[in-house]
Amino acid sequence: MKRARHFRSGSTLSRKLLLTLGAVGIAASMAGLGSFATFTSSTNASQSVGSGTVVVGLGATAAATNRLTVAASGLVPGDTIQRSVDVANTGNQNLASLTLTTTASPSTVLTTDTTNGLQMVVDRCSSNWTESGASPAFTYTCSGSSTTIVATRAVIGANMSLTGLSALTSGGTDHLRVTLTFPTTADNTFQGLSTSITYAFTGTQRAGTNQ
Amino acid sequence: MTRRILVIAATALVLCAATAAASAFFTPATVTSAGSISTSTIAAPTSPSAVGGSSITLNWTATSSTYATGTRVLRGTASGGPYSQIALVSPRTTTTYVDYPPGAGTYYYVLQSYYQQWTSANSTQVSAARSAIAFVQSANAAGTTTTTATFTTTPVAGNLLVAVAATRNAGTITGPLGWTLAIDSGATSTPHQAIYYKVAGALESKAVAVATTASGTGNGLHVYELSGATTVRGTGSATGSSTTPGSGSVTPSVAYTGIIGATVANFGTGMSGWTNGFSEIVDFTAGSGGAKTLLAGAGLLATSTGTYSTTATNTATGAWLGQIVAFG
Repeated sequence: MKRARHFRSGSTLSRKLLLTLGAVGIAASMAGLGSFATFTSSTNASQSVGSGTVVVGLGATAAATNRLTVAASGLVPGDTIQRSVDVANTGNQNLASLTLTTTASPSTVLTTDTTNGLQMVVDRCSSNWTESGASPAFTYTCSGSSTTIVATRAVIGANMSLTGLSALTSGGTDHLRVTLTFPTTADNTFQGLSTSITYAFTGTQRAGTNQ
Repeated sequence: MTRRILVIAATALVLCAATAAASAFFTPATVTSAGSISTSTIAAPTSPSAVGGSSITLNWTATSSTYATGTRVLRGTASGGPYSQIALVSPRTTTTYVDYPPGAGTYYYVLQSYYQQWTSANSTQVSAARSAIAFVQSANAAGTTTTTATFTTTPVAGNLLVAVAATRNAGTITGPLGWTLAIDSGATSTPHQAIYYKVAGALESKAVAVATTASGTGNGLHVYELSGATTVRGTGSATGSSTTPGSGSVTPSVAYTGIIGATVANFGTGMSGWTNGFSEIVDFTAGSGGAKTLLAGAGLLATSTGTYSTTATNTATGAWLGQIVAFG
């Protein structure tokens, strides 16, 4: 029996390949449904159908396109930290919204004290931010027009709306500058603390339309 | 067997292709980036030291936290505290402070660095003794354009020296070289009196000289040495024409002071009956006949803040000038 299987016909092999391809296709489709469960599209028999992609990307690290990973140490009250980051819509769909959620680990008064803890402002420049200073003490100036998209607030927040961004449009990129300020009112309880702040940018797909 | 291998290989290729497609299309719509942040700890000054005497001099090494604004100086009367802040010394690189505690005794100090609302931990504690305020010795002399009074013994380095120069007539008084003026009634006043002071040096002369442009022989000088005091803590003055010259009043800025009330009168042969606890230290005349000037000084060791004054009784009626200076 084993020997006979070595010689199975070509049609048997083709069937096996087709079955395999079918299984993979189903699996891929299920994965697609998982990521794009709210997508809708209409089509007819003669048209090709492609699913939309919602993809938000950040600029490469180790460059001015993403300095969020650059650590800041030895902060004292009154210090500021500036970091640039590019946020891009690399998918093929426009976005309904783009939000920023920040979290801290571990959580300390540095991030839980909304008055004396770190304060954040996010600004957008119409062109690339011009970076100055040696790492990690970067500063940035905007040679184009600058707008504040997140006004001064406590650093930690969920679903902070980033309005008016180019990245809401497929292929768009925004040049952002995150400025953290350590208030001068911080008391002794703020000495010797460490935390890691995570910035999560979330793009939400546009509403479904007739295609 | 070969075909089975081919099937497996083909399947693997298809799976790889499917995976690649999934990566391209199913990238999550949330992207994250994280950075760490840490705050500083402000370091305390190091190596403090204290040297006592009529004042207490503190020295230390500046904090290594270069952003620090300066140093908080805290003082207590018991080892281990509690301590109270007595001074903010800035900038950070200033590493000395001279304290004038309120009275004799041993004092304990700790230092902290500060910046905005931040303060460091305490430095190690240091202590030193402040000597008590006391009148050590006095001297007096009459003169003309130059008057020299000579202490009996060489003043002790660190003690406070006080010179009271007076003239019957109007004229400028020039104090001892290098001394500091505490109060001067003015060149046109008659009589005229000025009080100077200095902290005695290591090789202080026993002789103290003043000069004046006032004419006549009715010029005089009386000098005092005080321990436990280093500077002026308040002044006052008064004028009049009667048999009861007054010193004016003074409100010292610190509790423990040595107060000198000095009067000069254009008539009379002696003062007596000093009031308010003052004790006469010096009482003498300069000049003679109708040009005689009566000079006198009385002292009080004060142990609390408040207002102090004194009057005395002259043997004759005449124009007088009084001045009072608190040293601590």
